[in-house]
Parts: sequence; C-alpha cells; structure tokens
Amino acid sequence: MSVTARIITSIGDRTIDAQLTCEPGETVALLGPNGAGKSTVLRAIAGLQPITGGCIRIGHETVEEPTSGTFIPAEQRRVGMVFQDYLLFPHMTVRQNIEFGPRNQRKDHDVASWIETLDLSDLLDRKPAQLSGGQAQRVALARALATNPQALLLDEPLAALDAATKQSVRGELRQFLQRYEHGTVLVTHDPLDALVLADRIVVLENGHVTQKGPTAEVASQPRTEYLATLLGVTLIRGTAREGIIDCQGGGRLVTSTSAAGSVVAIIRPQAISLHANRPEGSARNVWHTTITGVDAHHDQVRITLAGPPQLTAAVTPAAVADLGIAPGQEIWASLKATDIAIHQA
Amino acid sequence: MNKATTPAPRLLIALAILALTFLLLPLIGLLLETPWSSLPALLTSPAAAEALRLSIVTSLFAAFFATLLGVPLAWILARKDFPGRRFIRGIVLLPLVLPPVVGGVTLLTAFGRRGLIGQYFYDWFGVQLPFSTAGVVMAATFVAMPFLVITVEGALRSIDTRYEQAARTLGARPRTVLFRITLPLISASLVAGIVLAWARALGEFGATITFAGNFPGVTQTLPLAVYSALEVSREEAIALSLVLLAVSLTVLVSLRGRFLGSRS
Repeated sequence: MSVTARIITSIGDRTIDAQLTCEPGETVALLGPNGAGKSTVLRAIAGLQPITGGCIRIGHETVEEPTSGTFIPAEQRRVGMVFQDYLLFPHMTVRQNIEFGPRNQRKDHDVASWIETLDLSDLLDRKPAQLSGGQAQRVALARALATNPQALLLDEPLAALDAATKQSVRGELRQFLQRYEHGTVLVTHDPLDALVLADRIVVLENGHVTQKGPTAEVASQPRTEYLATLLGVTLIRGTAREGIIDCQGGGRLVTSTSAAGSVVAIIRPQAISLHANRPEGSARNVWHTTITGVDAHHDQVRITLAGPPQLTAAVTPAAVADLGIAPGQEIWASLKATDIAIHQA
Repeated sequence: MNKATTPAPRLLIALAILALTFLLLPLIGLLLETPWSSLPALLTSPAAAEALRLSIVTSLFAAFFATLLGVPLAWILARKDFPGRRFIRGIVLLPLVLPPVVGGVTLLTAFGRRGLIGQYFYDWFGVQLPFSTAGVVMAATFVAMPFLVITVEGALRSIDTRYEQAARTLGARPRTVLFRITLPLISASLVAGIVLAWARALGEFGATITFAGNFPGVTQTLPLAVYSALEVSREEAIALSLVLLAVSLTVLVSLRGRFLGSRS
C-alpha cells in the first residue's frame, strides 16, 4: 500500500511540517542531518507521535487527521517499523520476537516464509544478545513484516552496524526492498543509504522539506548547502562484470571493482577532468562528448555532459574560461577507474 | 587495591572498625547465648509454632497485596505526569519514615471501629478489622508497600520505553504491553521489591501491635512473640530472634547483587 502524509507537529521547541508520499513498491528515503525531525515524522506515521495538523493516510485509510478528530492508535495501524537499534525484546527468543505481532493480531500469518526469506532458521532459539548486528537487523525486519503490514518504516536501519557489516547488509536490504510489494519509508542521515536503497529522496532540514525527487536527480543536483556538501555526485546504476559496468542508461565504465552483478557507481564531479584534445594518461575512462549544461555552483562550475553515461563534472571558473566551455560544445572527459566508488545493490 | 585512591586517615579507619564492632557484637551475643541444645524444643513449642505460622501467612498476604496495589501505583508514578504527583509520591513514601507506632494509630483512625471507614465496615458488614488477623495483614501491607513501590518505580523509569513503543507497532494493546513487555523487563527489580516488602512485613512490630494487638494465635506474629517472650523466657525470645535473623540473612544473600555489589 501507499503512504501519504502531511505531518505538522512540534517536538520541544522545534516545529515540523513535512509532506511525504510513497507509492506501493517504492522506497522513499527521508534524508537529513541529525535533529532535522526525520525520526519524528516516521514515529508520527506509526502513531507514536501525535500530529497537530495535516493528515496521515496508509493505503486508502486515513489513520490520523486532527481536523476531523481521526486517530487510530499505533497498535491498530497496519505499519511495520524497524527501529534504529532494532529493539528486539531481550527476554524473548528470536522466534518469540517474530511471533509477537501475529499473536497480538490472533492471526497466523506466514511467519515461516519470512523466517526463510530472511534466512533466520538457525537463529530462532537464540536470545537477541546472542545475535550479530546484521542478524539482529534481519530479525527486526522479520518481526515487523510478520504482522503483514501495509507499509514498512525503517528508522536508520543500518546505523547500528559497523562499517564492514553495513556494506553487505545494505546490499541485502536493497535486494529485499526491490521485491517488497508495499511502500517503504526509510529514515537516514547517511547519503549512501539513500543513494543505494531509495527510489526517491525527500530531504528534511530543520523540520521542513527542502528538496525531493528521484534519487539520481537529487544526488546530482543538490539544491541546498547541506545536500551539496553531502552529495553533488553522479549516480549510475548498472551491471558489473570483470571490472566493467554496463550502465543502465547506456555507456560503460571501467572500474577497479571486483564486484559482479547489480551495482551502483558513485562518481564525484571533482574526479572528472575535461580536456580540449584527446587526453593521453592513466585514466581508464575517456569520452568525447557534448556539454549539455553549465551551472555556477558556489565556487565551482558544474558541467553536465551528454555521455553516455550522463556525467557531471566540477571545474574552476578559470578552467571554464581556458577551455571556452559552453553548452553544445564538444569536449573530452576523463575519469580514473579508482575514482569510481562501487556499491553492491 | 587501587593505588590511586587517597590513603585513609587513621582516625577514619579506627571509627570504621568501631562501627563494624557495634554492628557485629549484638549478633555474636545472640549466637553465644543461643540455647542450641533446647532450640528444637523451643521452636516447636505450640506458641512459637503458632507465631511462626501466623507470621509466614500474614507476611505473604501482605507481600501479595503490596504487589497487587503497589505495582499499579508505581506505574502511574513513573509514567504519568499529573499535578500533585510529587505530593502523592511523598504520601506513598511516608510509611518509610513514619514511626510504625504512628502508622498503627493512623490505621486505627481510618479502619478502627470508630474510624473514618472502619465504622461502616462494622455497622454494615459486622467486620472488625483491628485486633484481627486481617488487621495484621493491613498493618504489614501499610509499612511494606513503599519498599515495593520505590523499587518498581525506579525500575520502570530506567527501562527503555521504546521497547513498549515497538510492541505497540506490533499490534500489542496496552494490557499486552504491560504483561508481556514491561513486567518481564523489570522482573529482577520486581522480585527484589517483593522480597524486600515481604521481609519488611515479616519484621513488622509497631503498627501491628498498635492496630492489631498482641493476641496469641490471632495477631501475635514472631516479632510480637519475641517481645512477649522476653518477659517470661529469655531463652525463648533468643530462639525466636534467631529465626528472624536467619530469614533476614537469607533475604540479604538472595538480593546480594543488589546490595552487596557482588559483581565488582
């Protein structure tokens, strides 16, 4: 099911007014700095934080709307929530944790299939304290899904993991979310989570939405200072094989990765060099392409290139003058294989 | 020994030894004067057995009522913010500092035959609470409940309430949250609170003798029996005291993690 929400509330002396929609099957990342109100928005959708204005709809059902006095308590909302540090009940086994929700609903949902999907069969008799971070995350996901929710809410699902585990769990989560039939709202302060996991990004700063759009668009055209320092990157999805990525929108990238299969390549615009003539050097990726846009951006100029693949380069104003850069002009671009960050997706 | 700690002044060490001696000597005195050979006979005498039975029954009832009523009170105090909460908390804790005799007097004014409520109990139902076994339970509950309330309230404040929120997102109604999440999470403190309340009820003297009197077989619990025996047979008083001492030690050992800091 979908989630449609306009959330007006306040927490402490901070006011929050955020609008958010999430279609069935879609993953929307709510990205923002710590203290922006992201988790509050998620808690409001779950019914754990009352709203003072706006409206929350899950599927076709309005679950909260102050003007009409509608308020469905948390335990009756059909959402599954995964909390930041998972909050597995420490006094219950993994199995008891997962069966907790179905038991409350007095229904026998297909717990077994989630146990299998998330590969938890060997962990069922363990207590949460005996699980690794990645295992705990899978149990939390299974516990939330076992209630057969109409939408999934993930609050910083990877923040509790160490860096090594994070990478693999992120990939697993991506694979799961791609197949998941309902809408997923993901709260994160880590742009990488948003880039890899989300179809769309909603940026929340200071309780307000400052930008939203498809992930690649928000990634390449950040409109706020906060986002520009975090992102301003080119995001290319594709399939990797023996170090070569076949890009989804056409074109190829030579990389230094050993990853295979579905990947996300992230390219900083500063890593791309522009040349008037064919460059002869160590860069493994060289393109002769057309400039489609020139955009002054703080102290840098962002040049969009037709590709394929489409790329954004950042150069100094002096370089723009030297190379006579203008839209429509042909130019050579180069990128070192080692400057491409690859994430399994 | 941690070399970084400040060396203890000699005077401090001397006074600390004095304090320990002061606490230890009475125990040694009791053990030395215990008539070990006649102990079985003394403890199985009808009067002693009756007092022991009465003490166990009434203290268990008191612990039960203190838990049944104290846990909800602790929950409200820990979780709900309402005007006058500090005042109510003070009332709850009052029996901790109130001289038990005064507690007994206040119970008489409320539940006595001419008391605030007690008169109706007597007039309507013919029930007389003071000077009855029920009165013993009431007096013990009155003094014991605060121990349970503060222990449980502290535990409720220290657990992560997000577990309860997680349970709600999993469809748990408030009652399910209480019984399947909250109470299991505080189980160790709950048990400690019940044991403390029970121990306090077992040792209760002042409020009991004031409100319930000292009638063998009806209201004469172990502490009251010790007091009465002291006037007739010092040996019997010591034997009964030994029982209470043993119970106290058992409680202390069972709660050692909490009070003796055994983990460090």
